Amino acid sequence: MTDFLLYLTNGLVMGIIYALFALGVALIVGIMNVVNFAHGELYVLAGYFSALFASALGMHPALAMIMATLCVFVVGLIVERTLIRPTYGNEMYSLIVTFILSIVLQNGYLLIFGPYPRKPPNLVTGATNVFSLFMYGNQRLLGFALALVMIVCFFALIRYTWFGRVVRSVSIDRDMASLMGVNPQRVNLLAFGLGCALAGAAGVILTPIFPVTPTIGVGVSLTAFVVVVLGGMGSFAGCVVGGILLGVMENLGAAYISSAYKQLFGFIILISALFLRPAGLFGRKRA
Amino acid sequence: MEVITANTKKPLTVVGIVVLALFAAFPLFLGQYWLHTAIVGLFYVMMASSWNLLAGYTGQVSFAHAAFAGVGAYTSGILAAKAGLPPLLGLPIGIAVAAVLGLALGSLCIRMGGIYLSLTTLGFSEILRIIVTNEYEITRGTMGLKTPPLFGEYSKTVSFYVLLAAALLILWLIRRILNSDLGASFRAVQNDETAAASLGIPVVRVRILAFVIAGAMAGFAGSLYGHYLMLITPHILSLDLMFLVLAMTVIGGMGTFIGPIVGALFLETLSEYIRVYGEYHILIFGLVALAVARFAPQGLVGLWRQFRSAV
Amino acid sequence: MSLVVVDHVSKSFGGLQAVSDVSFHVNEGEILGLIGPNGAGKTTLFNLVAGAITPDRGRVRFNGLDITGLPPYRISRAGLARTFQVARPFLGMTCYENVLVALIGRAHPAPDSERPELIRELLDFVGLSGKESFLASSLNLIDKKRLELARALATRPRVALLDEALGGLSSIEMDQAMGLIRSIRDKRGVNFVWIEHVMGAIMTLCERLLVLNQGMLICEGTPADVARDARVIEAYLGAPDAGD
Ligand SMILES: Nc1ncnc2c1ncn2[C@@H]1O[C@H](COP(=O)(O)OP(=O)(O)OP(=O)(O)O)[C@@H](O)[C@H]1O
Ligand SMILES: [Mg+2]
Repeated sequence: MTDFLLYLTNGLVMGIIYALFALGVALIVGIMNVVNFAHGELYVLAGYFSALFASALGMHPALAMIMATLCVFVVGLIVERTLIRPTYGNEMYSLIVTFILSIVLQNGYLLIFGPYPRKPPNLVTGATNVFSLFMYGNQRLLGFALALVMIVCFFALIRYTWFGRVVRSVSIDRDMASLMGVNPQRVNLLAFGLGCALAGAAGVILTPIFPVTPTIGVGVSLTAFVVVVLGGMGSFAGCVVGGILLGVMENLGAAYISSAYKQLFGFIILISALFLRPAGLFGRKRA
Repeated sequence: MEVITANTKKPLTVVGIVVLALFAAFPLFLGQYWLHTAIVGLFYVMMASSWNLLAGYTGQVSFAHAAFAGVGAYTSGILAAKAGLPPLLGLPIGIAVAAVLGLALGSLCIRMGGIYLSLTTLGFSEILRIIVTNEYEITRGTMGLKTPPLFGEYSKTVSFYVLLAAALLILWLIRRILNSDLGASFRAVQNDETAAASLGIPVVRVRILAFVIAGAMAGFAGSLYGHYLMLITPHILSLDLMFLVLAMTVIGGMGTFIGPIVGALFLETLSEYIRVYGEYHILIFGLVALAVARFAPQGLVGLWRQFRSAV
Repeated sequence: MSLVVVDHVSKSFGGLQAVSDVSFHVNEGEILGLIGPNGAGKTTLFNLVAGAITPDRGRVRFNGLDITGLPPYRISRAGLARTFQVARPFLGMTCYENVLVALIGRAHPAPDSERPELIRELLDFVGLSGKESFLASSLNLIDKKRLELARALATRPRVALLDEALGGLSSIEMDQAMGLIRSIRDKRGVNFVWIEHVMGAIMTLCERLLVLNQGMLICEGTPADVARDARVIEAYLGAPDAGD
């Protein structure tokens, strides 16, 4: 029973972080109809940045985390401006470009950082006795809390700001939004940057626990796609539910069924969900 | 317009024959190492050209093409290694299994387009890779499955000619398809499915057929490649190999007949030169492919055409 | 005999009743006009007839054949062609290739040897002589509409559904297009159902008009009758000006 609760807690913690980076994918798909295959590589980049800032530049780990996320936001803006913008209206090319980008980044990391895992120092140490049932790492608990706060901030942003209003109107009707006098290029730029920053935030939160290597981004991207598809394919709230669901299923599945086939379940969900709702992740009918 | 094409067609044919003759003479003057490079290059010519038929001509950007090569390789490889079936019999079975999976995946994707189709094929590809990696008893996992050569004793020279003949066969078939009614239907479907259907084009059938044909071709290429390497690893159905196929097509020129051929041979040769300086070739291909996709979406072929029309 | 019989057809999108219980028929040799304010459901009605979407209720018969729920390519092969409100030529293909696709799509594709002749003839007919090797993307709006028309004719239709053939054209271009439509009917025996917002044109070219409003058929008759009908006047005056 205690074991079960531990797996469940693990699933919940991972699920919230899945939800955090999946929200980035959902935002970019929703606004731009672009799937960013390099999403996971931006997560990894944030991990490297935070390790670099904290160890090499001697920044406080918390500051390093914030700086790393901001850097990834800027990288996202640059990527959108230079690589994504020319592909507007051509889904095929945006797919191809982000796929190539993911491979370039992986191999770039390999060249610069080597194949070895990197991590920044932990923010906190030790463990807490959860519900006086089992000991749970403080770093993980902190990560959970941080991810939760980020998600709440994201929802507040969507709910209460100019940007959020635009996002919501675009997800209802793209053409109507452009009639509202919104500059679509600026919205796309911001959405892409913000989407990447969400991957970055997840990266800096998780890297102290799971050090980054050049290629782990692939798994992150694929997980994000599964979560977005799983989460009812409509809302950002669905993303959170989907993330937690996948986190819990993976951890229970790995513990009780088979750890080798852990990822397989996700892909089967991905394909069946897409098959049942081919109109797309957002269920929006396209003419 | 027509006058120009009539004038350019002839020299092109002559160039083609000369290049082919030179290529066919490779075993006479190339060492074993470069002969290997040529064989790998031919494998990629088949892969990139058949992927281009699907992605460049019907607009279905599948990420499962390497997976189909893997299906062909593992099918005939396992039949040979476990059941002692001669590879020459395993080869058509490998093609058939890949074609059937192409039919399945093509049908699964039929109501999807764009990013959703790509995600589905990506998921399909990863599912296959996970299964092959984990079913160690059958596939030997990452250790690799030992297979016999296609026929007789192992010989690089023979393998070279087999792959050359296979590549020519594939290219001839693709050429035939592109010039046929089916080819025109492919392009119509890529341009606008709704309009194509309103003119009597059976869009569903055309799209699935493209998946079946491309899948069978990849299965054929993969199966031959496996029996040439005599060791099949999950690398053949990885996204890394998929990336190479995609980069070659994009750099050469997607949606053109020559593009993938040029791209495959160019990149494979280039990678041998870069390898001397370490394992940077993937990174460099990626950067080149990004630059091409950004600045010359028609690839090297497009650049060449622009150059020609400017002169 | 009626070529097309639309029998109590309905279609809703979510809560929106786009077409409700519409019945009409198309007679041999006529140009039937279909008018109505923006969002009345005209395009949806075309999509229902051409098989792009399936009706919730009702049947569509064409030439004695029940075509309800058939895929669009089968309906095209049966002899019912259509054009789109926003022209959709294959932008990445030449004019020649655009028409070629329609010859291939026929139930019995035109033999290879006849194709160049047929294509040239059709392109000449719609006024695209000499533009065989132009990419469709390089054409201006009226030429794109001409190309779409040539392509639709290449399927050898008995009936063609035209969705706003004149939208966006200048008045000179409009006259040309109207002449073209009339000559297609006279020379090729093609019948038309024609959606149009340009009232002057539709009043002169059509013998019979259908008026759609909020998914319902509110009036049917000669142009003169329709122009006097109180419900039609109210539909047009009462409708908010969407301004597109
Ligand atoms: N695929 C669809 N999904 C949801 N709603 C749709 C769809 N197609 C049409 N509609 C809605 O159905 C109604 C009728 O649309 P339709 O395009 O048939 O009008 P129309 O008479 O052709 O108008 P217009 O003159 O502006 O072209 C509109 O309110 C439209 O928004
Ligand atoms: Mg309309």
